[in-house]
Amino acid sequence: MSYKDNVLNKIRGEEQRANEREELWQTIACAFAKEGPEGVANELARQMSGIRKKFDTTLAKLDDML
Amino acid sequence: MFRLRQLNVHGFRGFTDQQQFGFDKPVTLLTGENQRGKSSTLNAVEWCLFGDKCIGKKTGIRERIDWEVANRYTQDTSVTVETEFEGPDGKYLITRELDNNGKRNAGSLVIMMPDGATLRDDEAEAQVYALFRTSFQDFMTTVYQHQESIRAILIQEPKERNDAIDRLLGLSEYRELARGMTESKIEKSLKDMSNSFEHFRTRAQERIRIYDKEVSEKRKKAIAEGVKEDDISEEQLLRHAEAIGKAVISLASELGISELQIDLPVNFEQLERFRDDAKDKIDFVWLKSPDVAKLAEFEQRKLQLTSLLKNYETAKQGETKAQTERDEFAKQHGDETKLVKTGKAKQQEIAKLDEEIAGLNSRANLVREAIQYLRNAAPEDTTTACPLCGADVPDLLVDLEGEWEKKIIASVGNLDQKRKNEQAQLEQMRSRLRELKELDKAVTEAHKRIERWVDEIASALQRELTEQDDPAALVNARLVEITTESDSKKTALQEKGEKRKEIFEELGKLRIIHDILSYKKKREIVERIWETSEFEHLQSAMDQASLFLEDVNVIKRCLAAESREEAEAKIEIAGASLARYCCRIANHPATRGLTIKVSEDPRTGLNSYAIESEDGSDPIPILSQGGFNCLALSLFFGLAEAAGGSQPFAFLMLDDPTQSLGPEMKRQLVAVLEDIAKDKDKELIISTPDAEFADLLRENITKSKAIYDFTDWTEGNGPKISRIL
Repeated sequence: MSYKDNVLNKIRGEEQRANEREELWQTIACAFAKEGPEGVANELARQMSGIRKKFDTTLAKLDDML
Repeated sequence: MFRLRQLNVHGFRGFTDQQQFGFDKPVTLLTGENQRGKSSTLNAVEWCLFGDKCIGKKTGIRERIDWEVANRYTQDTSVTVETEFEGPDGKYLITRELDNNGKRNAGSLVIMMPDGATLRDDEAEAQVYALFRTSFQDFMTTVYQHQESIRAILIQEPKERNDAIDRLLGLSEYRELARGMTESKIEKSLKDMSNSFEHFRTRAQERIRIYDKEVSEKRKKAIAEGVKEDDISEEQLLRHAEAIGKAVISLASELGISELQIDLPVNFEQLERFRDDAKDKIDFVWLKSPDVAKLAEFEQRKLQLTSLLKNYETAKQGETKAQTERDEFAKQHGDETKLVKTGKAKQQEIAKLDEEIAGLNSRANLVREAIQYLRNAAPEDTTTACPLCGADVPDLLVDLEGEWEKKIIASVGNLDQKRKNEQAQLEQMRSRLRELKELDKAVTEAHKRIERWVDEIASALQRELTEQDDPAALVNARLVEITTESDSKKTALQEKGEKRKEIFEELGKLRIIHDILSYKKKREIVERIWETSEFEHLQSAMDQASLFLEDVNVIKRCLAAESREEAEAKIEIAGASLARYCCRIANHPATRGLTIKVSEDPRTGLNSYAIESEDGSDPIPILSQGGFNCLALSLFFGLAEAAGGSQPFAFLMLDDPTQSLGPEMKRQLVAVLEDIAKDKDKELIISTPDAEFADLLRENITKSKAIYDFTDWTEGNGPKISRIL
């Protein structure tokens, strides 16, 4: 089995949020295959950045209310 | 199992023209100095099989970052590597090519099957994997011992050594994945979000505190100014505003402005606008009021007349002073007529003195000449005779000398002195005359100034003034009139002024109450922030980020656990072989019963390796560089042996395996390779720049050998290779 499948099995074994983590792992493995560790870093940073952007936009609105 | 039979290389790394290698002997040696293309020959096989999987950071080999596939010294950047494998079913020809611009490092793959069928690109890639079932990582650990892997383990730094052992075990991908996940810095990002969130909470609470304080202070101020608690409500506030509006219109009417309009507020939001508007309207009606305008005019007039009066009186004082000075001067020294007359008399006196002096000078000349003659020129018998008339005068010379001294000299002196005195007095007269003229001029100018101010006063009073009129008195009279009229107007406006003041006071109260209610509203908004959908979204984003981090950490943990399990499994598989090979090559007590234990690095979660001797001690401090190399080689041989029959390739490739090995270790290594070639039925392909090792291989490996000697390398021609059978 490749490292991808081995890790996937372990993730499934965790039970909690298995689907989300499985999907995330596929994304990570794909990014790694294309661009190595930088690809992984960029992909995770990009996803986090998306959440952060929503956070910052909402925080700005709340700041205006103050 | 598959044996490598042939390799054709064109344009790959240092190669230019096509080079062919045959692997028809059990052992193939690639010998020669460094940088002649030996390693590139082995790398060509690897690239042909795995393409871009053997390039870049993901390989875990530092030297493979920015690794160039195409020859950089030739115009033609196309690359072709062809490998021929002999398998159970026949011959397989695998060709990988790179196009002319050399950009795609993967290249295009073609495989010709034993039955003649040809597959290309993705199909070919899939077929290659199906045939050999070997990943690049597996190939690295069990078929091709890279010189970079040995070099890496020679580094003493524990973290670097853990990296190197992971690589040797084919676990670089786990490590590189974990590194990528760490470098995304999402934990820091989440921390920043938490800090921003808390900061916002703090600001909101602070804001509430500030509003409470403002409300309290303004409430105290309002009460001090007579506002009742019941008045502090929106409803009362609007009524208050309405009353003020009406008062402003009423005041305007009393002041003579009838068309004034003011928009009354109908809700709380309009109050601020109303406040500003009311203030502006009050100022406007007051300034535009006819009575107020008249009052302003009176004040202006008073200022003007007061200034004129002051200037006139100053001019009058100046005139008096100038006249007084002139009169006193004339009294003391005489007027112009007297001064002129006195001057003339002095001039006459001086003329008379000049005549006397001239007469005396004539006689003086005569006496002097006579004395000279009598002293120096007269004959001796004539010294008593007068030189002019000849009369005999006894003691003539003495008499003449006496006359000269006593009368003439003294008289001239007296007259001179008198003349000087008279001249001095004449000068004084002249000076006084000039001074008198200056004083007259000053008086004239003072008169002119007065005339000018009189004209100004006439213009201001709008009437003619004659010599009989007293300008100052007239100005004072006018001032009295204006003051009387002005006071009368002020009295009339006083009542309206009081009303204006009252309206301003009410407006002030309105402002305070409005401020109190505004702060209360703002406070309510801030308090309700926690119930808004925006706050809910904020919390949701925080939760999402936390879950994301948790997911990443779980995956990282699984990755680390899997890496560790695989490491343990491979080390166990290598097992006794590892210790045996290491002990055999190194022949050091520290290598007896050598084991490698893997645990989790508490800081990174990655594999941490501890090497132990038979007695449980740590051999690292006493292992030489050669000892570390033995360890790397032993791991490779151990894993290759453990792979055994499941390994599809019937050959091993070793690149510069003798780094840091001494002569004895080299001999032992040759002995191990002889066993592998003989007992394990593995073909060996060994690249080495080490002449001593090459000789040992030639002399001691009993299987037949093909030797490719890399004698030279040039940019234009690539490696120069000769085959020695």
